[in-house]
Amino acid sequence: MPAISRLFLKTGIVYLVLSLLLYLAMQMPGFGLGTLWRPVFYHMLMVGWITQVIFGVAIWMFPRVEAPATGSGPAAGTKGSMAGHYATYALLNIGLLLRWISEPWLDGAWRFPEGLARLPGVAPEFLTTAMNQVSVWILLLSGLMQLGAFLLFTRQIWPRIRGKRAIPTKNPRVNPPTSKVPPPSP
Amino acid sequence: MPDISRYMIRAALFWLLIGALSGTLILAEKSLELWPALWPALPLHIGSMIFGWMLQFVLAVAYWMLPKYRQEPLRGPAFPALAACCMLNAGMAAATAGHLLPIAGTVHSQADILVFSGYLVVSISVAAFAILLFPRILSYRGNY
Repeated sequence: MPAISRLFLKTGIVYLVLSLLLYLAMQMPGFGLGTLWRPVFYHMLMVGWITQVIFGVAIWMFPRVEAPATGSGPAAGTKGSMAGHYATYALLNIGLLLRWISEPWLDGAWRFPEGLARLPGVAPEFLTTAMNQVSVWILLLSGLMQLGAFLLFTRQIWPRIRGKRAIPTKNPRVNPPTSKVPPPSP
Repeated sequence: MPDISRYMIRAALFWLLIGALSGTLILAEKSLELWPALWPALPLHIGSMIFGWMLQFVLAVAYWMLPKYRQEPLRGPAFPALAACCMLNAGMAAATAGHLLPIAGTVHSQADILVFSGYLVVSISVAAFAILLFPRILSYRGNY
């Protein structure tokens, strides 16, 4: 299994555990986080876990790249461009993390602790106002990063969705076996 | 990889991009509040991701990877599998059209019928795949 697949699978399992912990926190009687965290939970489970595991297994198990017809594209016999796979991983996971910060903020699910606004040099409500403005763009960026990750994965895996490689024939008349006996010297 | 799995994996990637694009548009609406009429696309996002992408991808890989029969056809009859593949994607297309119609201002009852019939066809195709794949869940070495 290539390192990038192991990275996808391990990160996917971490997201599975985190999503279950978040669900427990949402359901805790008397201290429940409430339904505002529901989009985060669903995306942690569906994108963070399932989609990430699918990506990791697909990179590992799909047939290797055939020789490109045009001379461009990933090299034949490889699992595609590893840089492309790592870029997919980075885009997907940074996009997800940005989403965990910005979407619950916009939904009002979390706020800065009150003590933070009373720190010396920090104007009251400054952090909240700034976060209100910034989180809008962070959320948009997170959506674009995830879309970019899916586009990149599709681009990377597309040449590997193919049938079994043709097995070369072993016709002795076409390819005569090389003799192990050295030719006689003149 | 058999032809049917290839068709289904390519279709699954198509639905992944449709689902991701609709999700990104909804996030853009949520953050910038440009076009509130986009919110009815939320069921399209959910349906594309769950049924079009994940379910279809898993079924395709199962059809490819599960143990094969010892004689032809190695993966069972090909025509029912191909028909189920076509039905799954036709059902998804109908449900997608039904989800998009309210955005275009069409009466909701017509859209609801389209969505229901789409997911009904998807359910039938999944049942067909279950019937096709069930006998292939076995061990060549017998029960142990």
